[in-house]
Amino acid sequence: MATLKSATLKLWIYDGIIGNYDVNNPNYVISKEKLNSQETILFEIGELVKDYIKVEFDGDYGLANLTAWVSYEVTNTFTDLTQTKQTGVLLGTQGYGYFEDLINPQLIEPLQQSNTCIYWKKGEKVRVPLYAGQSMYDAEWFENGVSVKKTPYGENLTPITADTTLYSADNVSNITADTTHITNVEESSYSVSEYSPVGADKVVITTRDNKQVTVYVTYIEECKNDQFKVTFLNKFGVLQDVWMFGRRKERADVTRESYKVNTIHSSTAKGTFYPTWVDTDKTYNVNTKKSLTLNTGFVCEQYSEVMQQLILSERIWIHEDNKVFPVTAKDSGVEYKTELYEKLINYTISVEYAYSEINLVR
Amino acid sequence: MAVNNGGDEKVNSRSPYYIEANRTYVPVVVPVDNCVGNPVVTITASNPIPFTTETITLTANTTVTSGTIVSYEWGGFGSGSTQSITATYTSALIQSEVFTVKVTLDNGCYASATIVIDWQDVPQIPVDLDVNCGDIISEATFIGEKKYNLLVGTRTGAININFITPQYTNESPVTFKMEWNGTSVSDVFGLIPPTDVTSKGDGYSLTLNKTTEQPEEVTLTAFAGLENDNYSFQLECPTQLFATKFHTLEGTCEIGYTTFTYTDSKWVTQTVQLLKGETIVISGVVGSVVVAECTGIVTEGGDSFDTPPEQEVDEFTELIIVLDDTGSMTKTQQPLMDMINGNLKQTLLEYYNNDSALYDKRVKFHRSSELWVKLYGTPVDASKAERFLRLATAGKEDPDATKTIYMFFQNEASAATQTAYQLNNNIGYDTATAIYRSDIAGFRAFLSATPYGEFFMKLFVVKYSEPANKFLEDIFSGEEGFSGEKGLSDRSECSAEGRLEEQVKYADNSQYYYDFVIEALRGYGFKL
Repeated sequence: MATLKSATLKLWIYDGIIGNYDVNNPNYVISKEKLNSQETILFEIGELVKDYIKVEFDGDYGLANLTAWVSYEVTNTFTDLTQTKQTGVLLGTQGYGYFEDLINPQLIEPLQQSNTCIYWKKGEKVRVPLYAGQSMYDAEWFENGVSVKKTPYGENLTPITADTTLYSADNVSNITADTTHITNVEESSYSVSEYSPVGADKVVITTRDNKQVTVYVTYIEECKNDQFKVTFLNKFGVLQDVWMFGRRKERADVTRESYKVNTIHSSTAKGTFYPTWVDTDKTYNVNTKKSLTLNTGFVCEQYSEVMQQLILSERIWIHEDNKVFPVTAKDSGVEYKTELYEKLINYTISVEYAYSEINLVR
Repeated sequence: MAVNNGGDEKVNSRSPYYIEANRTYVPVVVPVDNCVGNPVVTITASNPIPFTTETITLTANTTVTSGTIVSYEWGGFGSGSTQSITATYTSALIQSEVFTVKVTLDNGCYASATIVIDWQDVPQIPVDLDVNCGDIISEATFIGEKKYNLLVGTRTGAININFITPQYTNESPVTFKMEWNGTSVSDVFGLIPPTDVTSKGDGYSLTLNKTTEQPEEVTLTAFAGLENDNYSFQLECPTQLFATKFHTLEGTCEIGYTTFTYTDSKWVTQTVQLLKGETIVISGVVGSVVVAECTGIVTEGGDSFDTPPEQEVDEFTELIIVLDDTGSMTKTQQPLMDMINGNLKQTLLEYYNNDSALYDKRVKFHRSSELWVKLYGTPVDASKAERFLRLATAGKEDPDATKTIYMFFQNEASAATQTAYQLNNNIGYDTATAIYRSDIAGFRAFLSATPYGEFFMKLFVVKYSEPANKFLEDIFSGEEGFSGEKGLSDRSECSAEGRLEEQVKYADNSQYYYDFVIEALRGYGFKL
């Protein structure tokens, strides 16, 4: 009986239309021989893929680059030298799974954030990151229980059956907002932003199998502190926003170097042998980095997970003056808080700008 | 451990992602031939690289030098014991499946063969959306191109894509392009600064004019270069015209009105009320014209059209111009002859392949008396020469003509005797002679037997006495009792034009008659 002998993986990572890659030039070609002690051959491609995903965000969510297509072809060679091929296409992100998420975590839930309670600046449109995959059907916004916006994403809702009568939750036959299928689209179509009408306090996300996720929005009108929005690449590999309503503290840390020089003159041509106005300690290479301490204000318990993902994120931006600036989390831990003991939950996070205050770009 | 890569959609690259090689391959045991050289087996496939949704046929072809085949034994991904088997894609993971066959002879010799079938994924073809007239289409966010098949059928006229202001903001521009028969219209619709009112909304349309029934295919493509957008539109089609025929309605109700109802060419129900003795000619869908109240008579006529169907003059089109030569119109002959040989020939010659002889053969002039003799052979008198209905009933002159157009230039059809259509100085159907009644019945029978488009007739009523002219005109208008089967008011292929001047000053250059002839042809749908 023939068994697996070896396998060769070809891997393509690319942007744009699915399948639009150079067949003859894979990004990686990996060959493996199966050892006798092994049952199968595995290729781990996570880091290989990550290298080719260019995360770019300039404040325009619609133009943000977060994903890439990953196409693979595995040629399996068996002990009788027959060969088979297996191919596949995946959407690559810079997301990550937890240990509990098991091998090859997918994270393809329609709601691409872990919290279903959101605190948002009053008067601003709420943005919720969604995954427009095959399970997505629509997102409907409500204000005081009244539907104010409905965005369809797919047309094939699984019918609800009750005895002999077929009911469809949506009988509008002409809605075909099908950017959801995995073919014929660009990879950027998968990570979509759902914007609310101003004032909407709830969004219900419906999947094609009629499951619903409800995200509740609480608007904060903060009159004491300026509010700042922080955007970060979350566990799902998409951009998530968190408003910081509490106190903001800023600090600049300066670094410098120095050396000593002899200031004694050998002649009096300059007035004296010993000029007291000349510095003997010369300073050079003075740099500074600004850091911030931000507070969320009072939020729900689910923000523990949000804060954890924020400090675990490799890419964070803060919105200031209609621009976004990259920052890096400085905290090395987050303490989970509960309403039972902490009553009102506020999270404090320290970040520093991911550049020197002095422009050193050369 | 088994990794189900096939069900995965994402690689979250900050965590490991494993792709597992396929280890579920079912090895194929190929029997070793025991008698080398006999038999020899090969397998042929009806399609060696089928799509995964297809069924193929595999056939074992055996060459035998001695012995007889007693069995076929298929293996691998195949099964069966016949020379040919059908195969479908069965493996969840392997797209290159191996099929084997073992052929055994009655002498114990056997041989085997294998074939690898490479099943191909069915290509993903973008699904076009069919849109019926009146449908409202609502699209949400997408990037790229969507195509709609606009099912307008044979309708002609303006096809409108009427945008509907969506409930939510649609920010990004979308390029819409409508195409039909090689022509297209396109425009970019989006927000209009500085008001930021979207042109993908109420009051904005994209319009294409479909001028002919065929081809029926009309498409609309929408290209969205940016995401976060949506739009709605409604397909507005031109009104579809249904085939109709003329119907003559006559009220016979003793008290009050007779009420008729019928469906017109736009499929709208119409109602007509007539007092006893009143008549009217309407265009209605066949079978839809009924007496709704009291009593009445419905007489079906010929085909009717909102716009005459297009006709073409070609080398087989016959134009027969007949002059009433019974005395008073003799001076009209020369300008008619000049027209036929002059400006009319210049206009029509190209349709006869610029062949002058062919034109002369097809475009003919007859004095009515000579035509009567030619057709019916008997000595002619004036009253016979004016029986244009009888003359036209002869139909085409050239046996190979496919279209025949008669044009009569006539000022009267009256006589003091019963041998013409009308008794002198009388009008109305009651004064029509038995000759007329006979000729109109014969002519109508001829028309009913002739498909529309193969025969046309025009009577140019030349000025003469009022009763004489009016009589001729009534035949075509249906007035004075000439309605329905008593005249020609319900026939699209026959009409009268009145009243032409006799001996007009500019008749000398023939242009006067030329204009009438050309206009008459155009009136019947000929493109000139």
